[in-house]
Amino acid sequence: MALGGKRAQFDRLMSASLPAALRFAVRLTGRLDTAEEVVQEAMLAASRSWKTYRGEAQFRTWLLRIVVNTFRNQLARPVGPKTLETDLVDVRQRSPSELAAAAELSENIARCVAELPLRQREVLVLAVYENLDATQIAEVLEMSIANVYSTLSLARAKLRCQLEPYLAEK
Amino acid sequence: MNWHDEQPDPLDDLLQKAAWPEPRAEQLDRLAGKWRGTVRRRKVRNAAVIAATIVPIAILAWSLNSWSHRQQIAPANSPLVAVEKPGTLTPALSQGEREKNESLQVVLEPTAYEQTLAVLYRHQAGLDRRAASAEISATTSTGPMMSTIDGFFAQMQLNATGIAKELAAAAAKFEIPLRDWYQRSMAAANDDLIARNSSIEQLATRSRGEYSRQRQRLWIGAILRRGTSVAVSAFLDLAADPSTETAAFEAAQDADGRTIDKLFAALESNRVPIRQTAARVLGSLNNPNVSQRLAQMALDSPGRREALIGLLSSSDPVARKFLAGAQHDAQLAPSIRALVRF
Repeated sequence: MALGGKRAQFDRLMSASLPAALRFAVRLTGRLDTAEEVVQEAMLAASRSWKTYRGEAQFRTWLLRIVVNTFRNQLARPVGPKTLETDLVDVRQRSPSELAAAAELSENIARCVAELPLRQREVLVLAVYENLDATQIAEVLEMSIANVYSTLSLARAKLRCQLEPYLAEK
Repeated sequence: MNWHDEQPDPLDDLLQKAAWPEPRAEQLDRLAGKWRGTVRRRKVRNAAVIAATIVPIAILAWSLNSWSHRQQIAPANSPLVAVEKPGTLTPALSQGEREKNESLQVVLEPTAYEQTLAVLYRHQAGLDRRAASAEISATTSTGPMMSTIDGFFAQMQLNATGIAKELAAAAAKFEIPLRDWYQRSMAAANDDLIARNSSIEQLATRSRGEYSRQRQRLWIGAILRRGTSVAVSAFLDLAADPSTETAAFEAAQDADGRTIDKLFAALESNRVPIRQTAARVLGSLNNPNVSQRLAQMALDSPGRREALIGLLSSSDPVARKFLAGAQHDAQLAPSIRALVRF
């Protein structure tokens, strides 16, 4: 494909993928404003390095990798402390019924995910919410497949512990 | 998530219930707008890069094309060339086309480059040089002929043998048509080129070798126009040389302010002949400002004879008036008397 045509196709794919990229960034960061910043920077990075994109089939994993890398770069920057949009809730200190009554279950699960260590969070979000298989996750996060499995296992164990009251209730 | 567990896990069900803040429509609009802006800026930048690449290439191609046209010598069996003015080629016309278009006057003439080559050859060979010198005419310094000559001289320094062959061929082909043109314009153009491209030493040598005062003055004037200390020094040597003295003093009449300053500086030379020649040249200018400066020098340093020599060489009223008064001055009068006797 000619360079101009490939670039036009890339522009269209990028434009169509922005909502998905933003949702993914929200799950990674847990915050809307931070997620928007991450996606903005990812857009610029993608525009600069679009030649590394090799075809439509790989576009999603290619973009997710850029978003993840941008997110990591942003974390590495020295910034002032950011307050969470709402305080985290330790679900083990409140009964499931109370939480359910407050309709906070969904938010609390998201907070538990947000509290995971960075690498575990990345693997879990990609596996559970982006529905990538182990090979794709390994490609996005540039790690081995075995490492993907072990990291996911750790993440799930931690979540299982944190969400134990809900699981017991089930 | 069905790729890591065989059995359904309640944790998976629970994780699916997680809810993050939903992106707002304005956030998505903002991102889409920024992406469109990024694409637009990239396109503008690319267009600028393309333009910045194409323009120098186009200029280079045009220059090469222009230069190659200059280098072309029409072969002996070339088609007729219709020339409206020297150096402007138009497509050759067939006999039928010429009959149809009666208003177009077709003239067989060489191109400007061919003319130049032939004329330079004739000049180098010494043909009609005297006649050319006698008939300097109106070739402008910015016309196509001069451009061709400039390019020719640059090339001649690189490939003298090849150029000599081209010169001979062009001269053989166009000798007769070129005669009148050469007599009208080539000498002036050629002299101007020599004056501009020769070194000061070459010009000085040429001055001493010329047989007419007019030609000597031409080269000495070219030396003076350089306006450097080296040029003024060479000029003063020529002014002190009896074979070129008259032409040098004539050429000095065109000296500009910078050259006059250099001549005043030569009054400080440690060589007596140079000091005295500079003084005589300054006096010969008959310039009131120069006379004023010389008079001031004479008053400041009564023992310095150069200023008085300059004033005595001048017919300027300022100099005459000063000398008339100085003859009654106790310090200046003896020097003036001695110089007059000498």
